[in-house]
Amino acid sequence: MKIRLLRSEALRNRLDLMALLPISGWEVFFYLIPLLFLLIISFWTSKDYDLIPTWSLSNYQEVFSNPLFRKAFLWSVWITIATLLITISVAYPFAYGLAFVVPKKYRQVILIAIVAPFWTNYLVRVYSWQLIIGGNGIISQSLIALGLIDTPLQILYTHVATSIGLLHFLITVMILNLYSTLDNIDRSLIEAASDLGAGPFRCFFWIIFPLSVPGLAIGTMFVFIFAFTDFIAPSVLGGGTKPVFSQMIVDAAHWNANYPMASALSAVMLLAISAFLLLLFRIVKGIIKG
Amino acid sequence: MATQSYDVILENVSKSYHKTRAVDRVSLNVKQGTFLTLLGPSGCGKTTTLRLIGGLETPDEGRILIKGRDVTHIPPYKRETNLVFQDFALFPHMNVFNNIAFGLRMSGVDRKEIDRRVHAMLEMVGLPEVLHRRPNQLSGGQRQRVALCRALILEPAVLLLDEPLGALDAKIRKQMQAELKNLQVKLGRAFISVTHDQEEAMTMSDEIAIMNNGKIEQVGTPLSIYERPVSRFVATFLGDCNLIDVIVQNVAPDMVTLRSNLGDFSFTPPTAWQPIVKGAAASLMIRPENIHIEEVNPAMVNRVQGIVSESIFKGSNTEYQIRVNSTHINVQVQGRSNLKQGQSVTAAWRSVDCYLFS
Repeated sequence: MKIRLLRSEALRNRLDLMALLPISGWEVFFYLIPLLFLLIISFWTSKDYDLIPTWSLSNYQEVFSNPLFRKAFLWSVWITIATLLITISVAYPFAYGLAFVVPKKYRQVILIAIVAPFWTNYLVRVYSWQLIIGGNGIISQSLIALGLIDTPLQILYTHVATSIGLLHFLITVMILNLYSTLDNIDRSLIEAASDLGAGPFRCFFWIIFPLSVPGLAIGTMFVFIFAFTDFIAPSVLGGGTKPVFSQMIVDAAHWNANYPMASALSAVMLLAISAFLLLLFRIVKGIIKG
Repeated sequence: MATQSYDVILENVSKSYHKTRAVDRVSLNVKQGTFLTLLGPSGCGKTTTLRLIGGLETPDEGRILIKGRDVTHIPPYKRETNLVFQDFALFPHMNVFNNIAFGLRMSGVDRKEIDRRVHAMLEMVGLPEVLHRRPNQLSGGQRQRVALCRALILEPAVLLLDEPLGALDAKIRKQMQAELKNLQVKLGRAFISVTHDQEEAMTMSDEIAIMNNGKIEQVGTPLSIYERPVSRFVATFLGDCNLIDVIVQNVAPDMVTLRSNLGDFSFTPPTAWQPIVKGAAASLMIRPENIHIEEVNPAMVNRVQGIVSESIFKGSNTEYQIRVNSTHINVQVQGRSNLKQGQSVTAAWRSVDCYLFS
């Protein structure tokens, strides 16, 4: 009996492994191998739109020494951090209210309203922001009509516009992430804390916040990666005067066909994201363990 | 009695959800240091009553006093009560030490004192080795003890327990019943527990309050409720019983005579009995263990003739069903008994071994 049980368990394990095969195969062929190519190419050089397979660190030297790249990197970091902070400070109270204050019967409607923008493609939405915040857009025109300003607002083609485009999308992502975590917190834990002498404020800091950290971390991860790598919002809304890092990659690959350079830039971007995620996991671990 | 000698007083407390009264004008006095159990079927309002005492619900009307202080509108974090939750509600992100220390931290006790008291607590429940484990690394019984420690460390005037043993398996439950009772006696604090398990209530409680439909039907010691229930509901909820519909024929101080379609019976009322007027319809309750079949003696004045229709051997006792006319009477006989199905028997009980209520 026992042997048979073991055998069936081993069989089940093998089946489980087999179920993982298609997705891991996909990952290997369409992600890991191309990534490896990218890393290899980043050490090559390019001449007259041709790849020259010689090992060289010149691309990386260029990435780290060229002030244009450095500036673009810092702009990306700045936009990402600002977007992240605004996203959290808007989404957290909203998700909290939705999970703990709003009566259950209204939540569904609000959640649908939050998800509704996802029915429109991101690119389309970014373009529609052009119309809204542009010089002849609704916002400027209404403010002028109200007599609050006399010249159109200069939002479009600035980093503020980029942030708006990102925020519109990312706040909803963050809300959904946080809401599902907050809503999953066992209400009796909050009652227990209250019963043991924690007022609403301390209840939040000792119980609700630590338990929401996993959702917050996943949201943060998503927001960071998306904001840091997106080139649609910066290209459509931000304009080209102060380009961000992702635009550098697009420029190198698309306009200059300098794939080694683009690869080196991508590798640096990947490194920056990895560094951030590592830091994030450290912090999260610290909070959860503490 | 002065209000100080009661740890908890409920005065006409009501609480409604969606127009149904979960708790309906409940009044209850919990004497100092007693173990009181709110017992009733699910949905009878016992848990809501407990949560009202703990401040997790606010009553729509009525007053709640704890140690003589009106706490009706005092939030839970300012009340001298602590609750052991049904599923224990241990904080999953904290280890055992931090779970137990939580209450002390909230009241600003210094580190050394916290350390000392948490260790003393765990020592008391015999769990000193689990200090650094997370709740999900504990067994059910251990979780239950940790939840107890966490609630007791603040030395509450009243400890509230919501189905405290419901999440445990039968074997540990028995053991925890005894432990809980011992703990309560040792601490001398009032415990108010909620359960639907009558055996648990009988084992642990000094007093039981039987609830039904948001109301308290009866409060008393387990023995008094078992022997002298005030209603059909209480009689059937607490243990097995036989109920015979009767008409009161005559009421004398030491003897009440009754008529039913099974024959005439007599009942000797105890001192605290609420008299029922002559001619009224009432229910006569006889516990199965008080009915005798084989050793009938002259003191057993109430007798019925019947046929054994079923017998179940249960180890320490045997249960019989005796058919009398069209009704069945349940009889429990200690030890082994050799009555056969279809055998004609006389079932008898003393006039003091039954109880009459309307």
